[in-house]
Formats: sequence, C-alpha cells, structure tokens
Amino acid sequence: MGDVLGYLSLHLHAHLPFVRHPEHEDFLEEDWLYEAITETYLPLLRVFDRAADEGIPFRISMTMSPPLVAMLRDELLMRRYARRLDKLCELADREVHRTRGDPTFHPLALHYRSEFGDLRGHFHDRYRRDLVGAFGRLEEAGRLELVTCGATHGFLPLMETVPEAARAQVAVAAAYHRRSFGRDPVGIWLPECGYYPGVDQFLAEQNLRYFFVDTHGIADATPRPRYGVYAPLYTPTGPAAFGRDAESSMQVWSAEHGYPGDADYREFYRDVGWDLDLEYVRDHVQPTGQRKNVGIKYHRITGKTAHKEPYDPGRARERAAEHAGNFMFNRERQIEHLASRMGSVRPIVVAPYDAELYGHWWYEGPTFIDFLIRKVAHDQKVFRLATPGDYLRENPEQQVATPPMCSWGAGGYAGVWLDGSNDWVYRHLHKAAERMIALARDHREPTALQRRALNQAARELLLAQSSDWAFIMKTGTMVDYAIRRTKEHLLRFGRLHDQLRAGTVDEGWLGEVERKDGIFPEVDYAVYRPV
Amino acid sequence: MASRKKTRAGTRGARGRKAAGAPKAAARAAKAKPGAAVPKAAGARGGARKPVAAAPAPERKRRPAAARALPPPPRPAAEPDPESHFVARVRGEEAVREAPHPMTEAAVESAAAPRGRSQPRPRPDADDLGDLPWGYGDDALVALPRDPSTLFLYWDHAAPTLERAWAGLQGGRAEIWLFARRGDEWERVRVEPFALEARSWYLHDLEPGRLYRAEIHIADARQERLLPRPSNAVRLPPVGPSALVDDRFARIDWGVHLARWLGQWRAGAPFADDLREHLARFGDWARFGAGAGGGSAGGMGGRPSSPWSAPGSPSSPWGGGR
Repeated sequence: MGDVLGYLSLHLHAHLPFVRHPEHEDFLEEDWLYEAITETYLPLLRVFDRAADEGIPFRISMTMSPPLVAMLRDELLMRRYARRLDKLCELADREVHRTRGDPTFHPLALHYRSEFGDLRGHFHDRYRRDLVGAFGRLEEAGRLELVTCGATHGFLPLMETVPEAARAQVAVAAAYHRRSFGRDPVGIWLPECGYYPGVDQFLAEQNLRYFFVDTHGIADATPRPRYGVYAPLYTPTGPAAFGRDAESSMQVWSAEHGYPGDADYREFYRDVGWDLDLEYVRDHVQPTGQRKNVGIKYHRITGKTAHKEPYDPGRARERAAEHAGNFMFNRERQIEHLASRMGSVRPIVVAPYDAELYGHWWYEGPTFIDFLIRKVAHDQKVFRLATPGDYLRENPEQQVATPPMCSWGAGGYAGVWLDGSNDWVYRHLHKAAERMIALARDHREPTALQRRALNQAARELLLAQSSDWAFIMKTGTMVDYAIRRTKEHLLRFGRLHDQLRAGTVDEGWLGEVERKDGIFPEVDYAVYRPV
Repeated sequence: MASRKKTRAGTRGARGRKAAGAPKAAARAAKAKPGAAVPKAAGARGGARKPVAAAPAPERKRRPAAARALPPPPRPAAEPDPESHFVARVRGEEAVREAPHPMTEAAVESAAAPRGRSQPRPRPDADDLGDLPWGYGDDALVALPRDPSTLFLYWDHAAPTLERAWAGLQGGRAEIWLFARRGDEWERVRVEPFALEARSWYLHDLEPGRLYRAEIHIADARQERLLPRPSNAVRLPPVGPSALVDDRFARIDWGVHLARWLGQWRAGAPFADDLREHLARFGDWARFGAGAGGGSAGGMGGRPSSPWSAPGSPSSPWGGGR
C-alpha cells in the first residue's frame, strides 16, 4: 500500500431498467438509455480512457447492472442510439446556424456541436458501438473494478419469504456478468443497497466478496462495529459489507449544498426542447408534440429564481476543478483524523453514487471526476483511490457482524418500495416466484420446447421484480408505464405457467415473447430449484 | 390506534389511467412560457429574458416507415417528462414535484385540467393478456418488513375457507393477532380489529429488532376461529448501535472461494468504547439533520443538507475547505 494513511473508494452505480421495445419504432422510455449514453456513459468512458492513456494511476469501482449491460449489448438499441446521436448532431449544426452573430450563445452552440461530434467519434470509432467492451477493457487495464447487481435490480429484502427468488437474482446476475465481461464479478451492488440478514449466503455461493450498505447498515450491525463505516464488516458467510460515508456522499448528493448546485454549473431544466419554437424542435421532442429535454442547454443554475444567465463552459470547468480540490482536501483531513484514531487499521472512506448523477444531472460531473483522479494522483499523499476489492486484498482481516435489513432509499429501509402506491405488486410477485420454484422442481427433464418456456418464465419473473417499477409508482413519474411493465411480465409469466402445467406450450406466442423480453439469452430456469 | 388503513390493495394497479387527450398536448405546447425563450443577446445576462428567438421553421423530415414497425402504442397524449425517472432517482421525490416542467402524472394531468380531459385510451395489450387475478385463493398470510416499526401484511383466502370461518358466528369480526418472540415463546402483543376486505394492512409502532408473526382470527362474543395460515416470521430491523459488544475478527484471504470457506473467528483485542462511539458519530447521518438512509431512490431529495459539508465550508471538522 505504500505509506498512505487510508483509502478513498469511489463507486459509481450504473443502472437502468430494461427498456427495449422492438415492437415499436419509437418508444419514449428508451430515451432513458439514449440520454444516459450521451450524457453519462460516454463522457465517463472518455474521462477514464484519457486518464488511462496518460498513465494516471486511478482505481474506481463501478456497477454495470445486468439490464444496462443487456441493453448496451443489444444491436437494435445501439442502432437506434446511433440514429439518435446523429439527430442530436444535426440539431447542434442547426443551432450553430441559428445562433450565428449572437456573441453569447453562438459559442455555446459551437461547444455542443464539438461535444456531440466528439462523442459520436468515440462511440463509432474508438468503441465500435461496444460500450460494454470499453468498460471491460478499463477493468483489464487495472483502472476499473466492475461489479454486478441484482439480475433485474430486484429489491431483495422483500423477497425474503421466497429465498429462491433472491438467490436467482444474484446467481443470474453473476452468470451474466461472467458472460459479458469474461471474468467473475468480485462484488455486487445489492439493488437499492437492500440487504437482509441471510442474503449474504447467496453472495457467497457466487464468490461475491463484497457489497455496499448505507451508513446505518454498518452502524446498527450486530455486534457493534469497532470502526463504524471506516472499515468493512464480514457477514457471517464471508462477503464484506462496506458502508457509505455520510460526509463525502453529502458533498455530492446534497440538493442544496452539494457541488452540483453551484451557480456556475449548467442548469438541468433549461433546455432548447422547452425553450425554442415547437416546430423547430419537433423532431426531437415526444411524438405527441409534447416538449422534453433534448440535451442542449444554454443556461447556468445562476440562483434559486427562474432567472437564468448564459452558461459558460470554461467557468464551469474551473468550478469543477475547485470542487475536486475541495473534495480531495476534505478527504485528506478526514482520513488523517480517522487514521490518528484507528491505530494500525487504515480507514476506508466509501463514496458511492448513482453513475447517472454524473453527466446527466450534473453535467460537469465527469469533469469533476477527471480532475479528482488527477489531483489524487499528483497533489496529495494522504490517501489513494482504491476499490473495495483492493482493500480486502490488502486488509483480509476484518470484524464479523451482521447488518440489519436496510437500504439507501428514503427512510433507510423498504418504505420506498412498499407503500400504498405499490404494495399491491407483492402478492403477485410472490405467487409468481412460488410457481416458478415449483416449475423448476417439477421439470427435471423438460423437452426442448418446455425448456424454452421455462427459461422465458424465469425471464418474465425477473423482469417483473425490478425495483424500478415500484419506485416509479411511488414517485408518481411514469406510473402508467411501470404498472404496465409489472403487469405484462406477470401476465406473461402466468400464461407460460399455465401452458406448462397444461402441457400445451404455444410455440408461436412463446417466440414472440422471447423476442420482446429477450434479456439473458442463456438463463437457466433451474436456478429456481428450491434452496 | 397503532395502525392505519392502507390504500386498498390492488386498486392502484388496476386503476384506469386518467389519460389526457390530444388537446392537452396542444395545451402544453401553448403553455410554453414566453420567459422560457433563449435570450438572443449578451445583454440578457443580467436582465429579463427575451421572447423566443425566431427559429427558422425547418423542413419536416419524413422518416420512411420501417417495413415491420408497428404504429406507436396508444399512449396518453401527455406524458411526464421522460427524464422524471432520472430526476427522481438522483434528486428524489421532492425534486420531481418541484420541477418547472410536469414530471409526475399528477402534474401533467393538473396542467391540462383547465382544458378538460379526454376519455382514457385503452392500454396496449398486444398479447391479449387480460388483467391480474384479484387473488389466488390459497389461504396465505404474508408478513413483510417495511421499516423498524412497521410490518406489512397481505392475505388471500379461498371462498370456502372464509365461509367456514364465518359460519354460525353472530356479529363476528376479523382481528389480527400479532405475536412477538420472547425467548422460546411467542407472546401476543397486539389484537387489532380490521376489515378483512382490505386484503392488506400496515401494523405500525412496533418494537424494532423483534421477531414477529401474525394470525387472522374471526371472532364473536362466544368463540374465535383461526384463519389458515399463520404468517411467516419476520424480524424488524433494529435501530441504533447494538448492545452486543463482541469483537470477533476473521481473516479471509482473497484467494479463498467463499463457498468453500469455513468461518474461523478469533477474538479481537480489547477496544475502547469511547473510541467506538467517536467513530460511529462521524458516520452518523443524524449530524446532517436527518435520520438514517438516503442516497439514491429518492432518499437524498428529502434529506436536509449538511450545514458544514458544503463546498469550502469553513466549519468542516477536518479543518475547513480551501
């Protein structure tokens, strides 16, 4: 480890629900993927690759959730994304033309044209449309440590009554990660940081060495942890729980005082999709003509009022550099202090974030990370960036304790995914899981067609379990879509179940469903055999 | 009383969406605020925003229809901004409710309300899948942990089961009996009348950290009958530092496969309680003015921010920012 006093573990959780609709030429929710590629995944890859090319010794861990990986590997979605990026470049060209002669906004239009062109170049030329491969190469190069997630981001604490369902979420995810990246995942991001005592055994089965919990997951563990969140805990079956550090999280997450709220940063809501004449942007907004963000934004946050001043990328970049310096400085002082109290044990400060916060919400976020990893490498000697895997390799002796059931959602437990808006789903999810377990138990030697139906039933159950649907119902955003997705998967599962039980699998319909919900082509329904 | 009636189970999922009709899209477009225009001149920096710059009306490009592409699904004409999901995730529930553009279905609907609503459109159902069953009739009572003091129950009973339970009773009522584990025994800690038709129920104000299970009983003045089956046992999460101080450490070398690993603990050295508490304080969300939890999934959005972790805050315990 050298002579540093401790570690900073920066973790980016990249995840999107599986939104793939081959049955429609345009589908609104696929925007989630396209926007995240343009604003988060490509910019982060560009930052990481540039630093790696320059030999900057950084280490960052990152979740690549299975649904996200599946979408990034999907030829149809990547083709659609390429078309979307082309349209964005066209719009940027038109903006350059439209703003000509405007000394304030013309440079910004040029900025976007250059930026989108560069991203397009990276997407096609450097990454050959294969972003999964690009992240994988960064892991091979020793810069990233990629971990998996629940197969479809199912919230595990609410599966405790059907443990086979929780185990399948973990096992399918680990298998898919191996196939996608050609190596075992060393850790897992439990969906929503949702842990319950006992789920660690399913992680151990897959040799997943660590996971993350929110701060109280460590603080309230039994027995009481010696070092709080500044050292991991081994759960009884071996996987280590790393706890989120409250302060470093707050410096980025806080809506009011966090860095992303700085007045010089780009304003998220002021977008030409809302600001310009509807006819001008009609090809870029919703097919109904309803406006939406299109990704070209000319204003900075400025203040809390509706008045927004023009955005200055150069000034914002300077602020990102200052904030990276401030973040590093605070970690230096924090780690010095902790190290002085923890004796021979070197503290680790764990700072996990949703990856999509960087770039999509906080436009300058990737620049912040760029500055941070460079400053940490060159401007200080108190700590170094390390992944949880690095930490455990260097510090294999840790306290043993059991975290309580917990999550990182509002309230800290299951309240986000279990309230009056979404609790109706669980009787159906649990029943489907019970039926899936029974199907797996009863079909030891299925025919080829039965096997296809069984595997598709497993896919439908997994897709229905995504925590994103319950979350959307709770937040009241795209509720209609979330309800529909939950129901469709459950109903398809139910029909497959009934057909399998009746011995009359409809092959034509099965083929159609396989085409629509084709996540995890290699899934093996046997993963649901009783624990 | 400790519990409150929840939203009727299943009704939210089965509800018809209050879809907005095509006129609403036009209304939304017409509602684009003049102040939302792109300022044209540098002088806009300190002043009021100018009206929208006259953008040239582009020639509409007609994309050739894909040979096998289906028409767009019959969606409501007005949807929340698709970015609402991102905003909810990374900024929380409050952020989507306070957004300047409608980011919730309720906001979309209220934005269009003055112009009236069209009839809901049918949802796409290409598979002709029907709807989820109301119940499964399998005589189940399931308990789920919601938070340290709240248990969620849902149940489902076959009609004959219910008929037998109510048969011969005079003025009977349904009760939830809640049991908590104490030592080797289950002690009844609550009897709560409820409406069986509710199909689910939240039990609040329970003691954190205890193991619970529930039963449903049908009773009248003379007798009571247990509805099959008792629930599963659920332990609610404990809150606060554990009273158990037992420093055991394990060494797990990286090369060991966990599935084959056998736990071998060894006792740790004595550890000062005051130091343990000191470290716990630094990891305590409470010093940021809120309880446990937070982060993504809407947690951070509602969390009061730190008074001293702001960029450059001079009151940082590590000595202030620079």
